[in-house]
Amino acid sequence: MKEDNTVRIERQGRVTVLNIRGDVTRRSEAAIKGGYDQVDHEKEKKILLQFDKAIYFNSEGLKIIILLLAEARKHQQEIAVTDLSDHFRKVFRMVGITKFARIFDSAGDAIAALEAAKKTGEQWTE
Amino acid sequence: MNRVPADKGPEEGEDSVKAALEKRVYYLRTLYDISKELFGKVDFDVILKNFLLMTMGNFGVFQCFILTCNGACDRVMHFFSIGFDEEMETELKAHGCRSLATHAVCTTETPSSEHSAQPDLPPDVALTFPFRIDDDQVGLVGLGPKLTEEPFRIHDRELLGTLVNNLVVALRNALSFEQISSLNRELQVKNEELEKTLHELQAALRKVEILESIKANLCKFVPATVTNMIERSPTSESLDASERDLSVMFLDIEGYSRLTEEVGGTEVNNLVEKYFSVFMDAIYTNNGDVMETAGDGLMVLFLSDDDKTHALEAIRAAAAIRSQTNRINRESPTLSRPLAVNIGVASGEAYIGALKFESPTGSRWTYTAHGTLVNIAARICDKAKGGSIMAIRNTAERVTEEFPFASLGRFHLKNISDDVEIFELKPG
Repeated sequence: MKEDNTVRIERQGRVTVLNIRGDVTRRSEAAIKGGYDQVDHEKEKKILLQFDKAIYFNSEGLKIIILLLAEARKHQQEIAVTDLSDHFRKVFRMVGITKFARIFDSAGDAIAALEAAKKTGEQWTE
Repeated sequence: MNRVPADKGPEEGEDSVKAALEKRVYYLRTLYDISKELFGKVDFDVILKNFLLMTMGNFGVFQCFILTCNGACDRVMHFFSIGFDEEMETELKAHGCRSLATHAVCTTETPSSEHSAQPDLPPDVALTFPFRIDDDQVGLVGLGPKLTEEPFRIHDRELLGTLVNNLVVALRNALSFEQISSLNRELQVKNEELEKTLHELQAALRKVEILESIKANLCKFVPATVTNMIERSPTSESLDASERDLSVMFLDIEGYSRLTEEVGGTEVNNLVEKYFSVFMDAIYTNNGDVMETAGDGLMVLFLSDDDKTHALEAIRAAAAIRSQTNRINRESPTLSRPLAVNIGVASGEAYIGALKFESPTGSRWTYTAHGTLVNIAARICDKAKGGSIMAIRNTAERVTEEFPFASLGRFHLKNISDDVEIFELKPG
């Protein structure tokens, strides 16, 4: 299991991309929360969480994503997720994460969809 | 496993089975994750927090809490929550224990296996599960609504129940670990105390060794009777003078002054040591105690509680001294004349105890016998010549079965008002 996480932030148009590397477990909290806290919540309302297809989420990793979604909801941000393995796409759906974030096959699709959303607060999730 | 609804087509049914299977696999994975996470921890709070965080992820909820209460369900002992505001947390703490009481967890050995939301908890709590850790602690885990907005179903409750069972095992392990740690700490404290005591004992032992060494050296100069009395009762008044029946022996080397002139001081010293060594053997073998020495003479007490015994011991010692002296005389023909040891023994009442001599420069203690009997013994020793053993009637009569004494008649002894009949031990 990979241990170290890196979170790289890129801005592509109106979309802020959090490029997350490494398995998502309890140890990931500081890195992911740290990355998300660098986002200007007043201005940046479209966020893409880009993972590595090979990564693993455990229960606490899912909790980190859920808490991030809760924060995003408070800030009225739209969240997209990309590059998940089939297994974790199913897990995300199973635990209800897809109620608050849409999953895309590729970053390009996700960015296009986020850019296409007319305004913040529009029905975004699945 | 969930049953495939009959009104769905084969393809849809297959998807449903696949989804259910995936869910079960996910549950298994969850169980594995939680077990791995919880069983690696021994801190009670950390286990509770981690369980809560993992449960949140597993069930996909924004809100969850866990609390433990004392066995009587009237005091919250641990409380952790995620996603509830402060007001809600206060309400959860206030009603959590009460909810456990209504679950009867606080009065029964094992909690019921599953519970839905409780009416006395806030409506945001969609599912609760009570648990018992031990006789002193029970707990409650509660989840808010699912992110999926679906209701909690039976398999969710089953999963939560299984996870809670693992949690309870982990918490019990933590408690056991804490007890072991506590016992270890106590043991460590006791070990430190023991070590300190050991050091103190070793120090005390060193002092005792020093005292023993001092005693061993002092014993060379102090009569055994005194040593024994002080050992038995260091502060008692047993050293005070009292009258008792005893036998006192005086022993004198005949012609000691002439001998000193003849062979010189060093040689006399050697001779005295040689003869006195065998005298001491004879004295100690017969339980005698040398009270005083003065050049060529000894004063010896025999203090058996039995009157006849101490008289016998005194005469046996005297006879042995005479016999040993004759032997040495035969084996050491260096002297112009053989050495003669004269002995006087008297048995009867005498004062024995400590005498204290006070002076401006200090005090000196001595333990000895004194009185007429002692003076008589000294005088008859003076009268003895040529290595004879003399005694008074009292002594002679007590030993007559073993030692034949013959009366020499009555004699006036210096500073003794009445004449004293003196007996002599016939040569053996």
